[in-house]
Amino acid sequence: MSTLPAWAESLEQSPIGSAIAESRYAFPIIEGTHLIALSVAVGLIAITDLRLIGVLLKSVPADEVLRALRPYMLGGFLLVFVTGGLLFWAEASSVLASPAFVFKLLFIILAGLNAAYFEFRVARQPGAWDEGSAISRKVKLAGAASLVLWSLTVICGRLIPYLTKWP
Amino acid sequence: MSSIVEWLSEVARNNALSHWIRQSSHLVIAGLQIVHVFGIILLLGALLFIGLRVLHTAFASRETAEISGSALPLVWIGLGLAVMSGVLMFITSPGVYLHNPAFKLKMALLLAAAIIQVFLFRRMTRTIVALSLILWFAVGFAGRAIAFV
Repeated sequence: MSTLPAWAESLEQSPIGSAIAESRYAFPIIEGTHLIALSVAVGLIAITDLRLIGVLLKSVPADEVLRALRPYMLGGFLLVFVTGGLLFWAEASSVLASPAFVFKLLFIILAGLNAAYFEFRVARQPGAWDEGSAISRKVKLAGAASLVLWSLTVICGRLIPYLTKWP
Repeated sequence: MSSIVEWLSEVARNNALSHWIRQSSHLVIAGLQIVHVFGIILLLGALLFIGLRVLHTAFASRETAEISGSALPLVWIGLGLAVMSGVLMFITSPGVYLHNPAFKLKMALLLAAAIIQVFLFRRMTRTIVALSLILWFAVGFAGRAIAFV
């Protein structure tokens, strides 16, 4: 266990980690990009989820919404992960010490598993996109799970600077 | 002009609500921050959704009204959440915010974005929607910089 803090410290003190931490402009620019990219990714996912659940945009088929928005969601996520990785690089020790960060990672993994299960299993079953079919209940459930898990991810992310250590 | 700003900031700072938020746990501020982020996500996500249709990069076979009709309520809900939580954070320490260059920039961008949203956005032309998207995303970007300048 003692190797993890040591690794975090060496990451922070690496040339890239310390360059980000010491630059006057790097932090606000990377943090700002992280926020904007997550608004694109999570915002469009929330709209898609609300459509899967059936509360929004009912006149447009759910698979059409998903297909149209998928490239923008994936692009947003790529940018969120890159900027998030850079922020972690610069402050790995304090971030790793926060319980909020551990829970954030957990919820990201669960949200990713939910998305993969939905894309590769649920959505490919015959009748998945027929409203009122037995499988469409699973579609709704996946949408609700996605909405909850990404919300928890955002909440935990925002709590990282407030919950600095385990009780 | 500056005395009006000072008076307003004194009123904002010195009332029961702002006293209560300042004296309560720092998790109240964290809660306001979380509501603020959710508001921003809804606002920017729903605006982008409309923008993709108006700029013809998605849902080209659908009417603009069909797409915007379902997303515009989300825009207003998101804006409402962001403004309410933002005002509550502001009144805890107006002096600090009013002297912050990123906050001043954010307010200028916010004013422009809000004017377009209220008076011009419904025209749904490509230029107006593109300008609106750029301004709102810039508001978010400048807002995130407040903590670092």
